[in-house]
Amino acid sequence: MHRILIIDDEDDIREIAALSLETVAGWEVMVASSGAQGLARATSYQPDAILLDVMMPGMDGPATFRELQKNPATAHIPVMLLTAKVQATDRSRFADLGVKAVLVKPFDPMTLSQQVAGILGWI
Amino acid sequence: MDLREARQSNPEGENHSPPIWSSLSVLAVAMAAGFILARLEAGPKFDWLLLMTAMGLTAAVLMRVLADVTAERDAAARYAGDPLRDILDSAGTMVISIGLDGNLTYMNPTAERLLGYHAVELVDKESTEKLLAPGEEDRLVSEVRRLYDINKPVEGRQEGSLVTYAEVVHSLAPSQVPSFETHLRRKDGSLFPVRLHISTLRNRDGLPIGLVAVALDQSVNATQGEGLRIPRDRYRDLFENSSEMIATLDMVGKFLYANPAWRQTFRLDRSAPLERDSFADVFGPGCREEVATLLKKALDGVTVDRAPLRTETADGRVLELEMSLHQRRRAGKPLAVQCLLHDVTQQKQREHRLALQLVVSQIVGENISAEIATKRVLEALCISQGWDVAVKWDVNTEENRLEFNTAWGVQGKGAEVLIQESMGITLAPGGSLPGRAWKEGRLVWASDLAVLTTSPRVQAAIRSKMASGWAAPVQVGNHVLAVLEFYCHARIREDRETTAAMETVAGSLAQMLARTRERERAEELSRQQEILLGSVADGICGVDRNGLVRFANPAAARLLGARPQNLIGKPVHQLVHGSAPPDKKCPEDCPLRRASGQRKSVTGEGTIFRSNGTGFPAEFFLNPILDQGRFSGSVLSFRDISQRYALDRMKDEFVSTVSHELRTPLTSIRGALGLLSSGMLGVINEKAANLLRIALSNSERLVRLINDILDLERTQSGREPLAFKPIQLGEIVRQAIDGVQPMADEAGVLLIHDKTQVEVTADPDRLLQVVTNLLSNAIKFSPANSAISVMLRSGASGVTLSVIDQGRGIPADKLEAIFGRFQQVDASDSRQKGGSGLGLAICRAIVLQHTGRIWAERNPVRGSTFRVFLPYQPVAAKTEEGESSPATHGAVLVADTNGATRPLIADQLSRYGYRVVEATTVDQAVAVAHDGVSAIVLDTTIDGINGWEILPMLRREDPEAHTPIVLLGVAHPQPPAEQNHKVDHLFPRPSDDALLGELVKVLCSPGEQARILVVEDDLDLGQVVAEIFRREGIVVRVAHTRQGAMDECLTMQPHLIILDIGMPNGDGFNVVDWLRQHEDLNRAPLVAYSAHGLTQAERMQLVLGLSHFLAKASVEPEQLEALVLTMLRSSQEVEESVTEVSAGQGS
Repeated sequence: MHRILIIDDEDDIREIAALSLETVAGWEVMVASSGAQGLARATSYQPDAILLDVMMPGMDGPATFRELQKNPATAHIPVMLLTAKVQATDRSRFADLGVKAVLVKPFDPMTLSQQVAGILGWI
Repeated sequence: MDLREARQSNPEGENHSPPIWSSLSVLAVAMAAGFILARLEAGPKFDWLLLMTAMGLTAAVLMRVLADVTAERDAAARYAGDPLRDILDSAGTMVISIGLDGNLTYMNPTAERLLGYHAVELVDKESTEKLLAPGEEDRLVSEVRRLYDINKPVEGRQEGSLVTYAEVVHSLAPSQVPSFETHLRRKDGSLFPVRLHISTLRNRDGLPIGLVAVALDQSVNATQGEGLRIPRDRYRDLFENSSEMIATLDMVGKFLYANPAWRQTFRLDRSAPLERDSFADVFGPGCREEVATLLKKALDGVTVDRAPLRTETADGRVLELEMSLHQRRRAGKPLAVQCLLHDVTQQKQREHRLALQLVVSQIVGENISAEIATKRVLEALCISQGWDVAVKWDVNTEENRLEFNTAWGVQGKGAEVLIQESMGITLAPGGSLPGRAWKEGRLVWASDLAVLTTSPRVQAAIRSKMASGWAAPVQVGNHVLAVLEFYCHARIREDRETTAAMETVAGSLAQMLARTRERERAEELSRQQEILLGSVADGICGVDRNGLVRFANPAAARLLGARPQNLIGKPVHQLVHGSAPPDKKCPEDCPLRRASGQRKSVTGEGTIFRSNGTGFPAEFFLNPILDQGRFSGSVLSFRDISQRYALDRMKDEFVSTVSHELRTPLTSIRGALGLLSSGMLGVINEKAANLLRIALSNSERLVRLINDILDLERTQSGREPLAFKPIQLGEIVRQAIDGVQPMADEAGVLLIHDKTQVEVTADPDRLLQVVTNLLSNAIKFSPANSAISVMLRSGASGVTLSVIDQGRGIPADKLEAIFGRFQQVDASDSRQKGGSGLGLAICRAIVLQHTGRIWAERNPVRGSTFRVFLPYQPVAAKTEEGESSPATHGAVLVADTNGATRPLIADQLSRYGYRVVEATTVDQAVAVAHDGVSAIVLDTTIDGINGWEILPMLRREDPEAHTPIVLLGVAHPQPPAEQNHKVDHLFPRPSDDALLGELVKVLCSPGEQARILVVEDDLDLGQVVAEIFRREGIVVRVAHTRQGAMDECLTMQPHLIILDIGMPNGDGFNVVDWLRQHEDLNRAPLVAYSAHGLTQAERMQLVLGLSHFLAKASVEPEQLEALVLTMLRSSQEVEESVTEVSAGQGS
């Protein structure tokens, strides 16, 4: 069973994403509501992958990602950005960060786990 | 002593006694000579007083000379050396003396010359009878008798003898010696009129010794001045018929006689006794005093000569007269006063008018303000005509009324009051005199205002003691600019001269006012333009044909940080990019650099540099100025768009933020609904599941909408640059078809695309988006079992991609609108078809970014075609004639006066990549043809000139006849016999786009090889048929299936199709049906054949262009070949002979 950490400041989205991954794929999901909390939980929880929101107050997605990369305890964990920004310039900017993928909001809860699994080669 | 004094003083002087004569002789001679000479020089007008004086003096001289003649007959010896004799000999007047016996005793050289005799022939030999005209002597004698009241013969004298006369005259004072008009007879028998003055010649003792006659030749002025100088028995006749006014007055100034001319002029009653009329009372009140003074002088014996008089007659006419008064005396006593009036009214009026004209033209020429000039002109007119008030009214067309402008009035006479009342009022059309003159456009005259009292204006004039009034329009052509109104306290009737004077003045004023208005209008216009140019925020520069700035408005100077005068003379490019810092120099192909001085419109955005080297983002336009079709310069306008840039950035951020903010809640909704409807979280009843599905699909639609809005926004803003690279367009089409194939399968729609490979430079992702969008649109609107074709066609400058469907089609009025935002054909479409309503807008934005064009067309039978034109290379900066046409093929002259078809043709041609130059006149067309074009589309009539006649003019501009000329219209389908100019194609006036499409094909596909498509499921038979035509050098392709046939049709665009109707999968009829949908294919001649015969209905079904049907069994290969070749040929003939063109594509 895969273990996923979802970092998003939006409670609703966090809940739906978690529900989706848990119900559809049967994965174990841990959530964090800010970048800082995410960093802490990533270190302690050691998930197989992280879904990271881009737009967050305080430390935003890219900043959190950079912190994750800096920390040897979390640097190896694959990160996928989840964003409502769709402009090509934004997307390519995010891709350049070194994340595994950029997933677009809104997502289809029925296929989200398949998408993630496909990207990470879990199928 | 001048002549006048001499005349007046002499009568007294002649009453002296004979002894004084000698002492006066020298003076007398001098005077006589002087008078005679003066007389001759003074011209024809005879002055009888003068003659009389001369006569008296001459007699005195002769008396001295001839006193001794009777005593001593040796005249010759005695005369020699006598100075008096010299005077007589040199006088210009005939002087003849007669002895009492009637024989001539002397005649001077003038008499000799005029009479044609030598003195020696007559003197002492002949009597006067020989010199007088027949019967004149008797007449003269009786005249004398009548004049001097000689009723019985003088005693001891023979009746009729001159002695009688001599004795009678002798008794008279010299001043009373009468003169006679008579005729003398020349030696040759011809007669001539003379004025004869005969007086008695006396010796020293005062006894008569003969007569002396002084005769003045009257030939020259025989007709003049007769009135008072002819014998009395003819006076009356002459008086009665004379046009001069003649009257005789008694010595108290009462009329004795007035001739008809007089009576008529003064309207005196012919039958009324004249005594009633006192002389002065006949004249107008204004001059009676003057007349009385003159009369008094005349009564006192002073002659009045042509005294000028101005009088008004009782009926309102003004007469200009010259009055001469002369007292007649008899026997030294005043007898009567003769009055002669000469009417010089017309002459004076003419002089007046001339003077007036001169004054008016001086005033008008002084370049003072129109109002002052008008006032002075009115003043001049009134003074010259004696009128009291003049008012000028201006026409106000908008308010339809007359408005007071200016006035002039004479002092007193109520003029001031009337003018005061005029100020500030307006007059309606009609009613008042000016109102009528305005409306009727002509002079309106009221010699008696009292009959017009209905008008308040006239009432005001009457209150101001005006008796007559009139008004005249001041007009240029039929346009009345103003009205002049006049009043006079006297009654003045309309007459020709006055009218003429008014017209003169009105005409001058009209010219002046028209000029003034024109000038004011021009000044106003140029002032407005200046204000406009001065107040606009855009920089505007006028550029001459050499690309140099000739004018710059203040905004241009402000934007460029320079003074306007420093901009003048700079080249356009230098102006905006000249002060760029070295690291920001623009590239060689800077659009402004290329465009300056050329005849192109250039629009663009870029950095413009101020004179201090700083730059600002600007939008610029360079537009050519065409003066009657000729390039005469350009206008450069530019504006600072930094604010717009800032706004764009803000909008960008806003859109980005909004999209994020919208998507976040949507993500939750979409996710929640998705999970719920999956049923994984618990069983949901059917109704609830249905509701969940609705909510889910709408949340998805909301997501698409937001995506499309963002997409369109970033595409249109152009801030997300395209990733241009060379791509195979066919590959993009394939990808798009792959993408929409599941959707097509679901809808049961067949997708067909041609295999043409063509490379363009484009952004593959964006282009894929366009094609996918067009295809998914087509699928949405296509019925099941229909086909959608994608066709690629290469042109000279780019490729046209067409997506052809058989769907419900697009109404003609929506063809353009559907590319707007949220502009679907049917408002319910977005719900039913699930589109956002932005797809085509996004497509257009993307295509425009590729500097291409996208448009929709209606198919001939059903469905629509969407076409995308893409240039092989996107044009960097748009150079445009109209909106944004990819003008790449070269120029086509469209010369057509029809305002409806010309834009249609132009639009169609420009869609196909032609630059269209439109011409509406023959001159324009020839001028454009002279500049060179790649083709000419010509209307059959322009400016009423037959196209066939214009043709040679155009051909002259193109002697080698390279330029294809297409003649439109069916008015003259055949050229006149004598015309032999080549027309490449002749079309009926196009009624739809399809025909124009053909036109374009003709223009771009000269001399193609014929192409035939053979559709035959039997592989061997197909090859056999193909081989037959290949031998003829015809390109042949063979297709074995319906799908293959469709693909080949799109790819090769055959000129002719040979079709086996009985094909297994999808029969030949389906192919025919499909072909009919294609405007490019539905005119292709079709040869259909079948193993079995066809019913008539089936044949009808096959009709497509020129069609033939053959039964397979009965046809020999040669027969088929012959038929096909005939059809191909006839198809070409059809092209050439008007109606249909089925030539192929431009590939």
